[in-house]
This record gives sequence, C-alpha cells and structure tokens, in this order.
Amino acid sequence: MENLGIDYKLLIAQIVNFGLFFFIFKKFIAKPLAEFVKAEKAKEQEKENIMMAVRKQETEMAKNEEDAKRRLKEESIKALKLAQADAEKAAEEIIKAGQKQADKIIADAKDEMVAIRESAMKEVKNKVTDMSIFLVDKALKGYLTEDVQRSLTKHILTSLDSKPS
Amino acid sequence: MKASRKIYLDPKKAVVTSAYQLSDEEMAAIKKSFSFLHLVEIVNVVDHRIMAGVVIQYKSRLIDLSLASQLNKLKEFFYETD
Repeated sequence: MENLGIDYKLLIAQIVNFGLFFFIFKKFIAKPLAEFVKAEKAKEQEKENIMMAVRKQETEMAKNEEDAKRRLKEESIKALKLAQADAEKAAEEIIKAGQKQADKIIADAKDEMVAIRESAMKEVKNKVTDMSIFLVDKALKGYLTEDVQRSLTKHILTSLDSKPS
Repeated sequence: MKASRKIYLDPKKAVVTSAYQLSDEEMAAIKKSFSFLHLVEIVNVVDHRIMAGVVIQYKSRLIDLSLASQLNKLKEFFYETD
C-alpha cells in the first residue's frame, strides 16, 4: 500500500476529518440549510398561492364587472325601450288630441260658415222683401186714385158680408 | 190721430179710418157689416197711409181692413218664410 503512495495515517486522519466534517456539516449546516430551503419553498408556495388567489379574485372581479356592465347595458336598453314606448304613446296621444281639436275647429268653422251663409241669405231675402214691398207700395200709391181706392174699399166691405162680424 | 184716439176711448163713438172721405152708402155698408156699430156714432178719419180699405176702432177693439196692413202682412209672411 505504501508502494501505491497511500499513507494509512493520513488516510485515517482524512477519513476522521471527513467524518468530523460530515458530522459538523450535517449537524450545523445541512439541516438549517435544508430547513431554510424548505422554509423558502414554503414561502414561495404561499406566495404562489396568494398570487393564484389574487389572480382568481381578479378574474372573479373582472367577471363581476363584466356582468355588471352587461346588466347595466341590458337595463339601459330596457329603460330606453320603455322611454321610447312612453314617448311614442305620448306622441300618439298628442297627435290624436291635435286631430280631435282640428276636427272640432273644422266642424265649428263649417257650422259658422253655414250660419253666416244662412244669415246672409236671410238678410238678402229681407232686403229683397223690403225692396219689393217698397216698390209695390210706391207703385200702388201711383196707381191708387180715389176711384180705385173706393173700388177696393167696396170690394173689401162686400167680402165682409159673407163673414160673421 | 191724437183726436181719433180721444174719440175711440169714448164708448159712444167708433172711429173708421179710410184713405178718403167715406160716402154715406159706404158708412151704411160698414154699419151693416158690424153689429156693434149700430148703437154708436161713427166718426170718419182720413189717413192716406192706409192706402185703401178701412180701419175700425171701437173701445179696445181694432179691426184693420186696410191695404197697408195687407202689405205689412205680406211683408211679415216673407220675413217668416225660410
């Protein structure tokens, strides 16, 4: 063994040294390091979990927001349709009322025109009557000499004889 | 007409209005036609506006047999006819 260059003492010392090193390393370095690594891993895992929860929450929030927007849009459309229907109804009522009023105005105007026409006709008729009577009166005054008057009076009195007094 | 109004308020007198002065025959004919004129005095009043015929007034009674009133009736008839 010595020919191979191996020193037993040194080998033993190195083995003891290695054993001591292994013991010390295992006892004071490897375990805390492993614990530290484990703790770090746990922390990482926790962070990951938190991140996942946050992402999940964000996703839910986004979904909720989307839902809220959709609902708002739906409600807006519904309200708009309702308002449109109300406006159409109101417009229809206004048009109907206007039409009714216009019909009444037309009917009143027609009645008034008829009344005016009748009044004018009556006025014309009365004027024609007045004129006719005036002309007859004038003509009679020219025609009625005392003889004619006597004759007419006689005729009137004669016609009375057949009637009771 | 004021004088005739006083006359026809008199119960003993009757007013006969004519367009000309009535003759006795005409007065007699009028009396004959209306019995209530037999016992009253008849006063003849001339009013050219009645044109022809006579208007008899006695108390509150008025009998209009004048041509003017016939014309007026004709006028009213035309007025009332539509």
